[in-house]
Amino acid sequence: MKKSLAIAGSLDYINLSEVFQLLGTNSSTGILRVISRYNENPGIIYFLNGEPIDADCGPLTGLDAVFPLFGWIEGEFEFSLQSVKNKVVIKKNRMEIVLEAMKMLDDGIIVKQTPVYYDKNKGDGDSELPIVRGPLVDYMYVADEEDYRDGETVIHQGKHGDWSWVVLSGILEIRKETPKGQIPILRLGSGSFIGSIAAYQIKNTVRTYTVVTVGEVQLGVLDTQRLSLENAKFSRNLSMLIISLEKRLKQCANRLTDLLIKKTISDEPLKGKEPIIKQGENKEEAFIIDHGFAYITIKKDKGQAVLARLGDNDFVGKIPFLNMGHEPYSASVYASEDLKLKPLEIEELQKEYENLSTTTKNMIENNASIISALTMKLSE
Amino acid sequence: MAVFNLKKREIECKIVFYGPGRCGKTTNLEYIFRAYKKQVEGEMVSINTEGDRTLFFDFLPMELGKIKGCDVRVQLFTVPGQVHYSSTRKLVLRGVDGIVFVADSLDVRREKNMQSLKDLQQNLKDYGLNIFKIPLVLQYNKRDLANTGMPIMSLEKMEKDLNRQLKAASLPASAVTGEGIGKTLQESLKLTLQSLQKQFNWAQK
Repeated sequence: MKKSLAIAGSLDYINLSEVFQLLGTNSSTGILRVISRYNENPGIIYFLNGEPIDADCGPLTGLDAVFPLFGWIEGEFEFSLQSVKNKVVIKKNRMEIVLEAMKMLDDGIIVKQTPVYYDKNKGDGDSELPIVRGPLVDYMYVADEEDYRDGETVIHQGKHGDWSWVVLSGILEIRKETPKGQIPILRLGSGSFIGSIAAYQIKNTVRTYTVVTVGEVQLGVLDTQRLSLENAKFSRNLSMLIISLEKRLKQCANRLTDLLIKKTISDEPLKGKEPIIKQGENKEEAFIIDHGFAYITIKKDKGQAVLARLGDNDFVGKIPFLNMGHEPYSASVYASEDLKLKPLEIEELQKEYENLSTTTKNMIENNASIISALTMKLSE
Repeated sequence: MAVFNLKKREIECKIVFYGPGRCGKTTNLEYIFRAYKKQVEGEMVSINTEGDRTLFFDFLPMELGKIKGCDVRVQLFTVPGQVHYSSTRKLVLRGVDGIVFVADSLDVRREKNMQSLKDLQQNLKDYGLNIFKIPLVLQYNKRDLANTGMPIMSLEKMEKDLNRQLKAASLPASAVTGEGIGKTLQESLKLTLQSLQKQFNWAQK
Protein backbone atom coordinates (compact mmCIF):
# COMPACT_ATOMS: atom_id res chain seq x y z
CA MET A 1 0.00 0.00 0.00
CA LYS A 2 1.43 3.36 -1.04
CA LYS A 3 1.66 5.76 1.87
CA SER A 4 2.98 9.30 2.09
CA LEU A 5 2.85 11.77 4.97
CA ALA A 6 0.88 14.81 3.84
CA ILE A 7 0.56 16.88 6.98
CA ALA A 8 1.46 16.54 10.63
CA GLY A 9 1.51 18.84 13.59
CA SER A 10 0.47 19.75 17.05
CA LEU A 11 -3.23 19.86 18.00
CA ASP A 12 -2.79 22.86 20.25
CA TYR A 13 -1.77 24.77 17.12
CA ILE A 14 -4.16 23.29 14.55
CA ASN A 15 -7.08 21.65 16.32
CA LEU A 16 -8.98 18.63 15.09
CA SER A 17 -11.88 20.65 13.69
CA GLU A 18 -9.43 22.63 11.56
CA VAL A 19 -7.77 19.42 10.40
CA PHE A 20 -11.21 18.08 9.40
CA GLN A 21 -11.97 21.22 7.41
CA LEU A 22 -8.58 21.18 5.75
CA LEU A 23 -8.90 17.54 4.69
CA GLY A 24 -12.45 18.28 3.50
CA THR A 25 -11.47 21.31 1.42
CA ASN A 26 -8.78 19.22 -0.25
CA SER A 27 -11.04 16.18 -0.71
CA SER A 28 -8.27 14.11 0.81
CA THR A 29 -8.21 10.33 0.98
CA GLY A 30 -6.05 8.70 3.62
CA ILE A 31 -5.58 7.99 7.30
CA LEU A 32 -5.51 10.50 10.12
CA ARG A 33 -3.71 9.40 13.28
CA VAL A 34 -4.10 11.35 16.52
CA ILE A 35 -2.12 10.73 19.68
CA SER A 36 -2.37 12.22 23.16
CA ARG A 37 -0.25 11.81 26.26
CA TYR A 38 -3.40 11.19 28.25
CA ASN A 39 -4.56 8.21 26.24
CA GLU A 40 -3.07 4.80 25.73
CA ASN A 41 -4.60 4.26 22.32
CA PRO A 42 -4.17 6.46 19.27
CA GLY A 43 -7.25 7.67 17.43
CA ILE A 44 -7.42 6.64 13.79
CA ILE A 45 -9.85 8.18 11.30
CA TYR A 46 -10.22 7.02 7.71
CA PHE A 47 -11.03 9.71 5.15
CA LEU A 48 -12.43 9.15 1.67
CA ASN A 49 -12.62 12.22 -0.60
CA GLY A 50 -12.54 14.56 2.35
CA GLU A 51 -15.23 12.79 4.38
CA PRO A 52 -14.56 10.62 7.43
CA ILE A 53 -15.94 7.12 6.75
CA ASP A 54 -14.67 5.05 9.67
CA ALA A 55 -12.59 5.36 12.81
CA ASP A 56 -11.24 3.45 15.75
CA CYS A 57 -9.74 4.33 19.08
CA GLY A 58 -9.03 1.42 21.41
CA PRO A 59 -12.30 -0.49 21.81
CA LEU A 60 -14.39 2.26 20.15
CA THR A 61 -15.24 2.29 16.46
CA GLY A 62 -17.13 4.50 14.00
CA LEU A 63 -18.54 7.81 15.21
CA ASP A 64 -18.12 6.77 18.85
CA ALA A 65 -14.38 6.75 18.24
CA VAL A 66 -14.40 10.16 16.53
CA PHE A 67 -16.16 12.41 19.04
CA PRO A 68 -13.84 11.92 22.05
CA LEU A 69 -10.88 12.88 19.86
CA PHE A 70 -12.16 16.47 19.71
CA GLY A 71 -11.34 16.68 23.41
CA TRP A 72 -7.69 15.94 22.71
CA ILE A 73 -6.60 19.53 22.56
CA GLU A 74 -3.01 18.75 23.47
CA GLY A 75 -1.60 16.11 21.20
CA GLU A 76 -0.17 15.35 17.80
CA PHE A 77 -1.75 14.42 14.49
CA GLU A 78 -0.49 13.11 11.19
CA PHE A 79 -2.32 12.50 7.97
CA SER A 80 -0.96 10.17 5.34
CA LEU A 81 -2.28 9.93 1.82
CA GLN A 82 -3.13 6.33 1.06
CA SER A 83 -5.95 4.28 -0.34
CA VAL A 84 -8.66 3.43 2.16
CA LYS A 85 -10.62 0.20 1.87
CA ASN A 86 -12.84 0.55 4.95
CA LYS A 87 -16.60 0.23 4.68
CA VAL A 88 -18.48 3.51 5.07
CA VAL A 89 -19.52 3.22 8.72
CA ILE A 90 -19.84 6.96 9.40
CA LYS A 91 -22.75 8.49 7.50
CA LYS A 92 -22.63 12.05 8.84
CA ASN A 93 -20.63 14.57 6.86
CA ARG A 94 -17.58 16.27 8.25
CA MET A 95 -19.16 19.63 9.08
CA GLU A 96 -22.01 17.92 10.87
CA ILE A 97 -19.52 15.97 12.94
CA VAL A 98 -17.42 19.06 13.66
CA LEU A 99 -20.39 21.23 14.70
CA GLU A 100 -21.88 18.42 16.77
CA ALA A 101 -18.52 17.90 18.46
CA MET A 102 -18.17 21.61 19.29
CA LYS A 103 -21.59 21.51 20.90
CA MET A 104 -20.69 18.39 22.88
CA LEU A 105 -17.50 20.12 24.05
CA ASP A 106 -19.46 23.14 25.24
CA ASP A 107 -22.06 20.95 26.92
CA GLY A 108 -19.32 19.01 28.68
CA ILE A 109 -20.29 15.72 26.99
CA ILE A 110 -16.84 15.53 25.43
CA VAL A 111 -14.27 16.06 28.16
CA LYS A 112 -11.26 18.16 27.26
CA GLN A 113 -8.04 16.25 27.80
CA THR A 114 -6.10 18.96 29.58
CA PRO A 115 -4.04 18.85 32.78
CA VAL A 116 -6.75 20.81 34.60
CA TYR A 117 -10.43 20.01 34.07
CA TYR A 118 -13.83 20.13 35.72
CA ASP A 119 -16.09 17.10 35.84
CA LYS A 120 -19.27 18.70 34.51
CA ASN A 121 -21.05 15.37 34.15
CA LYS A 122 -21.15 14.72 37.87
CA GLY A 123 -23.17 17.83 38.62
CA ASP A 124 -22.83 17.57 42.41
CA GLY A 125 -21.82 20.56 44.49
CA ASP A 126 -18.30 19.28 45.15
CA SER A 127 -17.39 19.03 41.50
CA GLU A 128 -16.75 22.77 41.36
CA LEU A 129 -13.18 21.99 42.35
CA PRO A 130 -10.79 21.70 39.44
CA ILE A 131 -9.26 18.27 38.91
CA VAL A 132 -5.58 18.02 37.99
CA ARG A 133 -4.36 15.02 36.04
CA GLY A 134 -1.11 13.98 34.45
CA PRO A 135 0.02 12.03 31.42
CA LEU A 136 0.16 8.22 31.29
CA VAL A 137 2.12 6.70 34.16
CA ASP A 138 5.58 5.25 33.56
CA TYR A 139 5.45 1.95 35.50
CA MET A 140 9.25 1.75 35.66
CA TYR A 141 9.01 4.12 38.60
CA VAL A 142 6.12 2.42 40.38
CA ALA A 143 7.40 0.15 43.15
CA ASP A 144 4.04 -1.07 44.45
CA GLU A 145 0.32 -0.64 43.98
CA GLU A 146 -2.09 0.22 46.77
CA ASP A 147 -5.89 0.13 46.75
CA TYR A 148 -7.98 2.53 48.79
CA ARG A 149 -11.69 2.62 49.55
CA ASP A 150 -13.86 5.73 49.46
CA GLY A 151 -13.10 8.35 52.13
CA GLU A 152 -9.71 7.02 53.28
CA THR A 153 -7.02 9.49 54.30
CA VAL A 154 -3.79 8.89 52.42
CA ILE A 155 -1.72 11.59 54.12
CA HIS A 156 -2.41 13.87 57.07
CA GLN A 157 -1.45 17.52 57.21
CA GLY A 158 1.18 18.11 59.92
CA LYS A 159 2.57 14.55 59.89
CA HIS A 160 6.08 13.77 58.69
CA GLY A 161 6.64 11.68 55.60
CA ASP A 162 8.70 11.34 52.44
CA TRP A 163 6.67 8.78 50.51
CA SER A 164 5.15 9.82 47.28
CA TRP A 165 2.55 8.27 45.02
CA VAL A 166 1.18 8.58 41.55
CA VAL A 167 -2.57 8.26 41.02
CA LEU A 168 -3.21 5.18 38.87
CA SER A 169 -7.01 5.50 38.93
CA GLY A 170 -9.73 7.38 40.78
CA ILE A 171 -10.01 10.84 42.32
CA LEU A 172 -8.53 12.26 45.51
CA GLU A 173 -9.24 15.51 47.31
CA ILE A 174 -6.61 17.83 48.73
CA ARG A 175 -7.85 19.48 51.94
CA LYS A 176 -6.32 22.06 54.22
CA GLU A 177 -6.74 21.63 57.97
CA THR A 178 -7.93 24.92 59.44
CA PRO A 179 -9.46 26.09 62.71
CA LYS A 180 -12.74 25.97 60.80
CA GLY A 181 -12.24 22.34 59.87
CA GLN A 182 -11.09 20.74 56.63
CA ILE A 183 -11.30 22.96 53.56
CA PRO A 184 -11.17 21.12 50.21
CA ILE A 185 -9.12 23.11 47.69
CA LEU A 186 -8.41 20.82 44.76
CA ARG A 187 -8.86 17.33 43.33
CA LEU A 188 -6.30 15.02 41.82
CA GLY A 189 -7.00 12.58 39.00
CA SER A 190 -4.97 9.85 37.33
CA GLY A 191 -1.37 10.71 36.52
CA SER A 192 -1.18 13.29 39.30
CA PHE A 193 1.40 12.96 42.06
CA ILE A 194 1.06 13.09 45.83
CA GLY A 195 4.18 14.12 47.69
CA SER A 196 7.07 16.43 47.10
CA ILE A 197 10.00 16.21 44.69
CA ALA A 198 11.97 18.51 46.92
CA ALA A 199 11.49 15.92 49.68
CA TYR A 200 14.23 13.83 48.07
CA GLN A 201 16.62 16.61 48.94
CA ILE A 202 15.22 17.73 52.27
CA LYS A 203 14.39 14.52 54.15
CA ASN A 204 11.60 14.12 56.65
CA THR A 205 9.33 16.86 55.39
CA VAL A 206 6.09 17.90 57.03
CA ARG A 207 2.96 17.35 54.97
CA THR A 208 1.22 20.64 54.32
CA TYR A 209 -2.14 19.20 53.33
CA THR A 210 -4.43 16.23 53.87
CA VAL A 211 -5.33 13.90 51.02
CA VAL A 212 -8.59 11.94 51.11
CA THR A 213 -9.93 9.51 48.50
CA VAL A 214 -13.19 10.28 46.67
CA GLY A 215 -14.51 6.86 45.67
CA GLU A 216 -12.20 3.92 45.04
CA VAL A 217 -8.63 4.84 44.25
CA GLN A 218 -5.55 2.97 43.15
CA LEU A 219 -2.20 4.56 43.87
CA GLY A 220 1.28 3.63 42.69
CA VAL A 221 4.00 3.97 45.32
CA LEU A 222 6.92 5.68 43.64
CA ASP A 223 10.33 4.07 43.62
CA THR A 224 12.05 6.47 46.00
CA GLN A 225 15.53 5.07 45.51
CA ARG A 226 15.41 5.49 41.77
CA LEU A 227 14.09 9.04 42.06
CA SER A 228 16.63 9.98 44.76
CA LEU A 229 19.46 8.81 42.55
CA GLU A 230 18.26 10.99 39.70
CA ASN A 231 17.68 13.86 42.11
CA ALA A 232 21.24 13.75 43.37
CA LYS A 233 22.44 14.64 39.89
CA PHE A 234 20.34 17.80 39.51
CA SER A 235 22.21 21.03 38.87
CA ARG A 236 21.95 23.73 41.52
CA ASN A 237 19.62 25.77 39.34
CA LEU A 238 17.26 22.87 38.72
CA SER A 239 17.14 21.99 42.42
CA MET A 240 16.40 25.62 43.26
CA LEU A 241 13.71 25.74 40.60
CA ILE A 242 12.00 22.63 41.97
CA ILE A 243 12.08 23.91 45.55
CA SER A 244 10.88 27.32 44.47
CA LEU A 245 8.03 25.80 42.44
CA GLU A 246 6.83 23.88 45.48
CA LYS A 247 7.09 27.00 47.60
CA ARG A 248 4.94 28.87 45.12
CA LEU A 249 2.47 25.97 45.08
CA LYS A 250 2.19 25.90 48.89
CA GLN A 251 1.64 29.65 49.05
CA CYS A 252 -1.05 29.53 46.35
CA ALA A 253 -2.75 26.71 48.29
CA ASN A 254 -2.63 28.80 51.48
CA ARG A 255 -3.97 31.82 49.64
CA LEU A 256 -6.85 29.81 48.29
CA THR A 257 -7.60 28.47 51.76
CA ASP A 258 -7.61 32.06 53.08
CA LEU A 259 -9.90 33.12 50.29
CA LEU A 260 -12.30 30.24 50.93
CA ILE A 261 -12.46 31.08 54.65
CA LYS A 262 -12.26 34.87 54.70
CA LYS A 263 -13.58 35.53 51.18
CA THR A 264 -10.75 38.01 50.51
CA ILE A 265 -7.03 38.20 49.85
CA SER A 266 -4.88 41.24 50.42
CA ASP A 267 -2.91 43.53 48.12
CA GLU A 268 -1.26 45.41 50.97
CA PRO A 269 2.43 45.50 49.92
CA LEU A 270 1.61 46.74 46.42
CA LYS A 271 -0.04 50.09 47.10
CA GLY A 272 1.30 52.73 44.75
CA LYS A 273 3.82 50.42 43.06
CA GLU A 274 4.39 49.53 39.44
CA PRO A 275 4.95 45.88 38.50
CA ILE A 276 8.32 44.75 37.12
CA ILE A 277 6.51 42.21 34.98
CA LYS A 278 3.00 43.18 33.95
CA GLN A 279 0.28 40.57 33.41
CA GLY A 280 -0.12 39.91 29.69
CA GLU A 281 3.37 41.03 28.79
CA ASN A 282 5.38 38.99 26.36
CA LYS A 283 8.62 38.90 28.32
CA GLU A 284 10.92 35.99 27.66
CA GLU A 285 13.39 36.36 30.52
CA ALA A 286 13.53 34.56 33.84
CA PHE A 287 15.44 35.55 36.99
CA ILE A 288 16.66 34.24 40.31
CA ILE A 289 16.08 36.40 43.36
CA ASP A 290 19.39 37.40 44.91
CA HIS A 291 17.96 39.63 47.59
CA GLY A 292 14.61 41.07 48.63
CA PHE A 293 11.11 39.89 47.74
CA ALA A 294 9.03 39.48 44.63
CA TYR A 295 5.23 39.31 44.79
CA ILE A 296 3.29 37.26 42.27
CA THR A 297 -0.14 38.81 41.71
CA ILE A 298 -3.21 38.41 39.55
CA LYS A 299 -5.88 40.91 38.58
CA LYS A 300 -8.93 40.47 40.78
CA ASP A 301 -11.91 42.72 41.49
CA LYS A 302 -10.20 45.70 39.81
CA GLY A 303 -7.16 45.36 42.11
CA GLN A 304 -4.22 43.01 42.46
CA ALA A 305 -4.31 39.90 44.62
CA VAL A 306 -1.04 38.51 45.94
CA LEU A 307 -0.62 34.78 45.26
CA ALA A 308 2.91 34.32 46.55
CA ARG A 309 5.77 36.17 48.16
CA LEU A 310 9.07 34.81 46.85
CA GLY A 311 12.52 35.44 48.32
CA ASP A 312 16.15 34.37 48.07
CA ASN A 313 16.89 31.72 45.42
CA ASP A 314 13.32 31.69 44.11
CA PHE A 315 12.73 32.20 40.42
CA VAL A 316 10.41 34.64 38.64
CA GLY A 317 9.65 35.11 34.97
CA LYS A 318 9.00 32.83 32.04
CA ILE A 319 10.18 29.23 32.30
CA PRO A 320 9.28 27.81 28.90
CA PHE A 321 8.70 24.23 30.11
CA LEU A 322 6.50 25.23 33.06
CA ASN A 323 2.87 25.96 32.37
CA MET A 324 1.71 27.37 35.69
CA GLY A 325 -0.61 30.04 34.35
CA HIS A 326 1.42 32.77 36.05
CA GLU A 327 3.81 35.47 34.82
CA PRO A 328 4.35 36.82 32.25
CA TYR A 329 0.99 36.08 30.52
CA SER A 330 -1.36 35.55 33.42
CA ALA A 331 0.22 37.15 36.48
CA SER A 332 2.24 40.24 37.39
CA VAL A 333 5.38 40.50 39.48
CA TYR A 334 5.91 43.33 41.98
CA ALA A 335 9.19 44.03 43.76
CA SER A 336 10.16 45.04 47.28
CA GLU A 337 12.38 48.12 47.31
CA ASP A 338 15.56 46.12 47.95
CA LEU A 339 14.90 43.46 45.29
CA LYS A 340 17.95 42.26 43.36
CA LEU A 341 17.61 39.79 40.51
CA LYS A 342 20.12 37.62 38.66
CA PRO A 343 19.31 36.42 35.16
CA LEU A 344 18.57 32.67 34.94
CA GLU A 345 20.26 30.72 32.14
CA ILE A 346 17.17 29.20 30.56
CA GLU A 347 18.74 27.29 27.70
CA GLU A 348 20.97 25.21 29.92
CA LEU A 349 18.13 24.51 32.30
CA GLN A 350 15.81 23.55 29.48
CA LYS A 351 18.37 21.07 28.13
CA GLU A 352 18.74 19.51 31.56
CA TYR A 353 14.97 19.33 31.95
CA GLU A 354 14.53 17.60 28.61
CA ASN A 355 16.99 14.87 29.63
CA LEU A 356 15.21 14.07 32.89
CA SER A 357 13.27 10.83 33.32
CA THR A 358 9.64 10.98 32.21
CA THR A 359 8.45 10.55 35.79
CA THR A 360 10.52 13.44 37.15
CA LYS A 361 9.38 15.63 34.28
CA ASN A 362 5.77 14.61 34.94
CA MET A 363 6.15 15.45 38.63
CA ILE A 364 7.49 18.92 37.86
CA GLU A 365 4.80 19.46 35.25
CA ASN A 366 2.15 18.26 37.70
CA ASN A 367 3.23 20.87 40.23
CA ALA A 368 2.91 23.54 37.56
CA SER A 369 -0.58 22.24 36.64
CA ILE A 370 -1.62 22.32 40.31
CA ILE A 371 -0.44 25.93 40.56
CA SER A 372 -2.43 26.75 37.45
CA ALA A 373 -5.55 25.03 38.87
CA LEU A 374 -5.23 26.85 42.22
CA THR A 375 -4.80 30.11 40.35
CA MET A 376 -7.93 29.47 38.26
CA LYS A 377 -9.86 28.93 41.47
CA LEU A 378 -8.24 32.00 43.06
CA SER A 379 -9.20 34.25 40.18
CA GLU A 380 -12.88 33.17 40.13
CA MET B 1 -9.62 34.43 5.53
CA ALA B 2 -10.73 32.73 2.36
CA VAL B 3 -9.05 29.50 1.31
CA PHE B 4 -7.66 29.26 -2.22
CA ASN B 5 -7.83 25.71 -3.41
CA LEU B 6 -5.56 25.56 -6.44
CA LYS B 7 -6.30 21.92 -7.15
CA LYS B 8 -10.02 22.60 -7.59
CA ARG B 9 -9.49 26.19 -8.77
CA GLU B 10 -11.88 27.32 -6.11
CA ILE B 11 -12.03 30.07 -3.53
CA GLU B 12 -13.79 29.05 -0.36
CA CYS B 13 -15.09 31.81 1.86
CA LYS B 14 -17.32 32.03 4.86
CA ILE B 15 -20.37 34.19 5.57
CA VAL B 16 -21.90 34.06 9.03
CA PHE B 17 -25.42 35.08 10.05
CA TYR B 18 -25.22 36.56 13.52
CA GLY B 19 -27.85 38.03 15.78
CA PRO B 20 -29.79 37.65 19.04
CA GLY B 21 -31.69 34.43 19.76
CA ARG B 22 -34.98 34.05 17.78
CA CYS B 23 -34.12 36.97 15.49
CA GLY B 24 -34.58 34.78 12.42
CA LYS B 25 -31.02 33.77 11.52
CA THR B 26 -32.00 30.17 10.97
CA THR B 27 -35.19 31.17 9.07
CA ASN B 28 -32.92 33.23 6.78
CA LEU B 29 -30.70 30.27 6.06
CA GLU B 30 -33.61 27.84 5.68
CA TYR B 31 -35.18 30.17 3.14
CA ILE B 32 -31.92 30.47 1.18
CA PHE B 33 -31.49 26.70 1.28
CA ARG B 34 -34.98 26.18 -0.21
CA ALA B 35 -35.11 29.11 -2.62
CA TYR B 36 -31.63 28.62 -4.10
CA LYS B 37 -31.63 24.82 -4.03
CA LYS B 38 -29.76 24.61 -7.35
CA GLN B 39 -26.87 26.59 -5.98
CA VAL B 40 -26.61 24.58 -2.79
CA GLU B 41 -24.16 21.73 -2.61
CA GLY B 42 -24.81 18.89 -0.22
CA GLU B 43 -27.23 18.81 2.67
CA MET B 44 -27.97 21.38 5.29
CA VAL B 45 -26.35 20.55 8.61
CA SER B 46 -28.51 21.49 11.57
CA ILE B 47 -27.36 21.14 15.16
CA ASN B 48 -29.83 21.80 17.94
CA THR B 49 -28.24 24.02 20.49
CA GLU B 50 -30.29 25.07 23.48
CA GLY B 51 -32.78 27.78 22.49
CA ASP B 52 -31.15 28.21 19.11
CA ARG B 53 -29.85 26.22 16.18
CA THR B 54 -26.55 26.11 14.36
CA LEU B 55 -26.97 25.73 10.61
CA PHE B 56 -24.46 25.16 7.88
CA PHE B 57 -24.39 24.48 4.14
CA ASP B 58 -22.23 25.09 1.08
CA PHE B 59 -23.47 27.65 -1.42
CA LEU B 60 -22.19 28.13 -4.97
CA PRO B 61 -23.33 31.57 -6.16
CA MET B 62 -23.55 31.26 -9.96
CA GLU B 63 -24.15 34.82 -11.02
CA LEU B 64 -20.93 36.05 -9.46
CA GLY B 65 -18.59 34.65 -12.07
CA LYS B 66 -15.03 33.87 -11.27
CA ILE B 67 -12.23 35.56 -9.38
CA LYS B 68 -8.89 35.08 -11.11
CA GLY B 69 -10.34 32.08 -12.88
CA CYS B 70 -11.51 30.44 -9.69
CA ASP B 71 -15.05 29.45 -8.79
CA VAL B 72 -16.40 30.77 -5.56
CA ARG B 73 -17.77 28.51 -2.84
CA VAL B 74 -19.44 30.12 0.14
CA GLN B 75 -19.93 28.40 3.46
CA LEU B 76 -23.04 29.80 5.09
CA PHE B 77 -23.33 29.52 8.86
CA THR B 78 -25.51 30.64 11.70
CA VAL B 79 -23.97 30.83 15.11
CA PRO B 80 -25.65 30.31 18.49
CA GLY B 81 -25.71 33.49 20.52
CA GLN B 82 -25.43 31.96 24.00
CA VAL B 83 -22.16 32.54 25.83
CA HIS B 84 -22.17 28.84 26.72
CA TYR B 85 -21.40 27.75 23.14
CA SER B 86 -17.96 29.27 22.90
CA SER B 87 -16.36 26.36 21.00
CA THR B 88 -19.01 26.50 18.28
CA ARG B 89 -18.77 30.27 18.04
CA LYS B 90 -15.01 30.12 17.81
CA LEU B 91 -15.15 27.54 15.05
CA VAL B 92 -17.74 29.45 13.08
CA LEU B 93 -16.24 32.90 13.46
CA ARG B 94 -12.62 31.97 12.91
CA GLY B 95 -11.60 33.11 9.45
CA VAL B 96 -15.02 34.62 8.69
CA ASP B 97 -15.08 36.71 5.49
CA GLY B 98 -18.46 38.40 5.76
CA ILE B 99 -21.16 38.93 8.37
CA VAL B 100 -24.90 39.40 8.15
CA PHE B 101 -26.24 40.80 11.39
CA VAL B 102 -29.91 39.92 11.70
CA ALA B 103 -31.71 42.33 14.00
CA ASP B 104 -35.19 41.74 15.36
CA SER B 105 -37.66 44.54 14.54
CA LEU B 106 -39.85 43.76 17.54
CA ASP B 107 -39.97 46.63 19.99
CA VAL B 108 -39.25 44.36 22.95
CA ARG B 109 -36.06 43.04 21.37
CA ARG B 110 -34.36 46.42 21.14
CA GLU B 111 -31.92 45.80 24.00
CA LYS B 112 -31.22 42.27 22.78
CA ASN B 113 -30.18 43.61 19.35
CA MET B 114 -27.78 46.11 20.78
CA GLN B 115 -26.30 43.58 23.22
CA SER B 116 -25.83 41.03 20.46
CA LEU B 117 -24.11 43.57 18.20
CA LYS B 118 -21.78 44.43 21.05
CA ASP B 119 -21.04 40.74 21.58
CA LEU B 120 -20.29 40.39 17.89
CA GLN B 121 -17.83 43.24 18.05
CA GLN B 122 -16.09 41.63 21.03
CA ASN B 123 -16.08 38.16 19.48
CA LEU B 124 -14.57 39.50 16.26
CA LYS B 125 -11.99 41.39 18.26
CA ASP B 126 -11.03 38.15 20.00
CA TYR B 127 -10.13 36.71 16.60
CA GLY B 128 -8.24 39.81 15.52
CA LEU B 129 -11.07 41.19 13.36
CA ASN B 130 -12.57 44.66 13.33
CA ILE B 131 -16.33 45.11 12.99
CA PHE B 132 -15.75 48.39 11.14
CA LYS B 133 -13.57 46.69 8.52
CA ILE B 134 -15.23 43.33 7.93
CA PRO B 135 -17.88 43.22 5.16
CA LEU B 136 -21.05 43.67 7.18
CA VAL B 137 -24.72 43.82 6.25
CA LEU B 138 -27.43 44.69 8.75
CA GLN B 139 -30.79 43.08 8.17
CA TYR B 140 -33.86 44.48 9.95
CA ASN B 141 -35.93 41.33 10.05
CA LYS B 142 -39.60 40.59 10.81
CA ARG B 143 -40.95 43.69 9.03
CA ASP B 144 -44.07 41.60 8.20
CA LEU B 145 -45.11 41.75 11.86
CA ALA B 146 -46.29 45.33 11.24
CA ASN B 147 -49.33 43.84 9.46
CA THR B 148 -50.28 41.80 12.50
CA GLY B 149 -50.35 44.89 14.69
CA MET B 150 -47.41 43.86 16.83
CA PRO B 151 -45.31 46.81 17.99
CA ILE B 152 -42.18 47.02 15.86
CA MET B 153 -39.48 49.65 15.65
CA SER B 154 -39.23 52.03 12.73
CA LEU B 155 -36.31 51.54 10.34
CA GLU B 156 -35.02 54.97 11.33
CA LYS B 157 -34.95 54.00 14.96
CA MET B 158 -33.12 50.75 14.20
CA GLU B 159 -30.61 52.62 12.05
CA LYS B 160 -30.00 54.98 14.91
CA ASP B 161 -29.68 52.20 17.45
CA LEU B 162 -27.42 49.89 15.51
CA ASN B 163 -25.93 51.58 12.49
CA ARG B 164 -25.11 55.11 13.60
CA GLN B 165 -21.40 54.44 13.92
CA LEU B 166 -21.05 51.34 11.75
CA LYS B 167 -22.61 52.89 8.63
CA ALA B 168 -22.93 49.42 7.14
CA ALA B 169 -25.26 48.41 4.32
CA SER B 170 -28.69 47.80 5.82
CA LEU B 171 -32.02 46.52 4.56
CA PRO B 172 -35.46 45.49 5.77
CA ALA B 173 -36.54 41.89 5.41
CA SER B 174 -38.99 39.24 6.41
CA ALA B 175 -37.40 35.82 6.65
CA VAL B 176 -40.80 34.13 6.99
CA THR B 177 -42.08 35.42 3.63
CA GLY B 178 -38.63 35.54 2.05
CA GLU B 179 -38.84 39.24 1.34
CA GLY B 180 -35.44 40.91 1.35
CA ILE B 181 -33.59 37.67 2.06
CA GLY B 182 -32.17 37.27 -1.43
CA LYS B 183 -31.19 40.93 -1.42
CA THR B 184 -29.42 40.56 1.92
CA LEU B 185 -27.45 37.61 0.62
CA GLN B 186 -26.57 39.37 -2.66
CA GLU B 187 -25.41 42.43 -0.79
CA SER B 188 -23.28 40.37 1.57
CA LEU B 189 -21.77 38.35 -1.28
CA LYS B 190 -21.01 41.53 -3.20
CA LEU B 191 -19.26 43.18 -0.27
CA THR B 192 -17.43 40.00 0.75
CA LEU B 193 -16.11 39.38 -2.75
CA GLN B 194 -15.10 43.01 -3.22
CA SER B 195 -13.14 42.75 -0.03
CA LEU B 196 -11.57 39.45 -1.13
CA GLN B 197 -10.61 40.92 -4.49
CA LYS B 198 -8.98 43.81 -2.72
CA GLN B 199 -7.05 41.41 -0.53
CA PHE B 200 -6.10 39.32 -3.52
CA ASN B 201 -4.83 42.22 -5.61
CA TRP B 202 -2.99 43.52 -2.66
CA ALA B 203 -1.33 40.13 -2.19
CA GLN B 204 -0.23 40.08 -5.84
CA LYS B 205 1.70 43.31 -5.69
